[in-house]
Amino acid sequence: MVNRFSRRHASWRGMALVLVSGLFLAACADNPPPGDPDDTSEGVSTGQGDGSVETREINERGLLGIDEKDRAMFVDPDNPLSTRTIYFEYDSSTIQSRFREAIQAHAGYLADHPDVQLRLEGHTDERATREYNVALGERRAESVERALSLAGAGSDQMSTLSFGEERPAELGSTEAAYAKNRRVELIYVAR
Amino acid sequence: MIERLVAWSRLTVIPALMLLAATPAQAALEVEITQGVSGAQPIAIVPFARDASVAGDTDIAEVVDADLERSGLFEPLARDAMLETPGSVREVDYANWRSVEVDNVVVGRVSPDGRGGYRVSFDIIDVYKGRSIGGYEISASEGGLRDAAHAVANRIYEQFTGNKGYFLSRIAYVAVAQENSGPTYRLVVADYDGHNPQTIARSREPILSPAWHPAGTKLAYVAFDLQRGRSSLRIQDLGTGEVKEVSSRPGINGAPAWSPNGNKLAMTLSYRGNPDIYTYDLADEQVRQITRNGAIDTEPSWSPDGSHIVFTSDRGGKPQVYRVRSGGGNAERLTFDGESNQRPSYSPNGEKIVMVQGGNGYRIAVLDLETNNIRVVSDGPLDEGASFAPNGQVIIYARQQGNSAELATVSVDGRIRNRLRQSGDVREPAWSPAGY
Repeated sequence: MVNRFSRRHASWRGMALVLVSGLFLAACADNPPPGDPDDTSEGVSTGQGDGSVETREINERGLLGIDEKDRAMFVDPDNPLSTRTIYFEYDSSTIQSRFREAIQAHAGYLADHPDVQLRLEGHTDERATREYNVALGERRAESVERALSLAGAGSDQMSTLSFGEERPAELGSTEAAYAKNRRVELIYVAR
Repeated sequence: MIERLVAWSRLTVIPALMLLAATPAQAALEVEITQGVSGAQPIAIVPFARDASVAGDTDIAEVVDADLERSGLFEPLARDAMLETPGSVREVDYANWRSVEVDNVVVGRVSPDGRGGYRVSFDIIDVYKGRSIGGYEISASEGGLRDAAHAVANRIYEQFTGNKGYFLSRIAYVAVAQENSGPTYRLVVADYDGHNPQTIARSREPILSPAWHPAGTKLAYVAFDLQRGRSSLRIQDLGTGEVKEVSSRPGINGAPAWSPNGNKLAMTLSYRGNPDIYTYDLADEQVRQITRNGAIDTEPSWSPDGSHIVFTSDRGGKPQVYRVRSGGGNAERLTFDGESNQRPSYSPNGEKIVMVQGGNGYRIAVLDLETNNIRVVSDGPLDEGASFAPNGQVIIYARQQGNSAELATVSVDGRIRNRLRQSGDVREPAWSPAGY
């Protein structure tokens, strides 16, 4: 397929252009081309299809803003701070009561560490359209932000970012996958 | 009758795009016709005669055949069924074509124009009248013979359907490759048939909602910048590659839609606390809030006359389509049938809206604004992102199957269907506005 395309391509664009683009391709293998607007990511994983990848990702990316000495609390399964993903019902942004303890714990930590910054990343399952899901994910993130604020976190310590359905924790069109994807991730970001 | 159809406007843009391409060797989309109509017009496109000095191996008649067949409205005669291959009207033996029951024959020739480019001349012949019913000439640049072929197909399509052809149009889409280190998102611009795909932006973070400038020269889209923790609404010039960030406010910066004159972008912002529709004036860079509502308002699309914006809102509970004047005011609900209706997009003549209808899956539906009839034109279960061809006769959309997504087209009446397949995830198609 690729070869077929290349041949066609050569035939109607002319050799000169192909040579130019070939050289450019070689040149940009290491550097993004001019106009490539966004290759600034931290190279994070989506943790597709595997809960352990998800855990690793949130442990690396989600704790960058936490002092080394405190990180153990956030990975200790007996500590409510280790709950750093809040899950939601379909088309809902209501926080379920089972997350109350985790919300209290994170709000308490933020109140005790006023220079710590938390980003609330909102996500949805794949149903409904993409931009509607961006809005729904934003609504979920704001719902968690509000709950944390009411529980004592400073509003200037928090921000929201919605990915909608673009970053599923688990691929697949099953109800089990959907349930894992309707979520807000608590990401402590480096200042 | 000699008419000049110049296929230049688009050609001048592409070399610049090529320089931006991060991965020019990407596989093209492969078109497969999945459902046609009976009673398609029989036509024979005879292989074009070509002067020995014409370089390259672009087979013009083959490209025209594919365009016409894909439209579902024509039934091109196979080459091996042709009893002769005349290079001009004078050489045609009409009895040969009557015997294979072809009503119309197209003959043509490619020759150098003496200025480094080519002249493509052709005649559309009526076999029963026994004469040419239209002679045309197209200028093509050295590398532009494939586009010249699309221009030939446009002319034939218009001759027999009365509608403009769309074979010179382009599509933008988002391609996602799953790699061990995570997904890579690429924003791709290709010919309408998937040929000549060019990556114009790529990111490890999602790219969303490509929207064509009405002149086809720029795309607006949404990217993510995790360093700043923001989404970012951008405009990229396809000629120069220049990228301008339009909005990266806290919260949502999404769902860009160009006004018909290209002076404004409608978009969804939530920095004032709730997702609402705003318009952004590209001249003074000011935003103006169009909807004010505690619900989600998003996915705006301008009416072709610029007077209204349709959008998705869940103010009534489930997401439905609403319409508001583009300067703001009260919104009126347009959809009442179906559990939900989302992401409306106007047809080029403003008479229809294509949208995604939910309820036991998601399907593409066309709302006739005159009659309020809704016609469901796709099968689901997870179809989305529909956009009209520039002539309003065909719709492109994305369909998800298991873990992968592909693009598909369907005629407005739902009868003619094509799939555009590629390995990997392809989504969010946007059909360019021009293409004649």
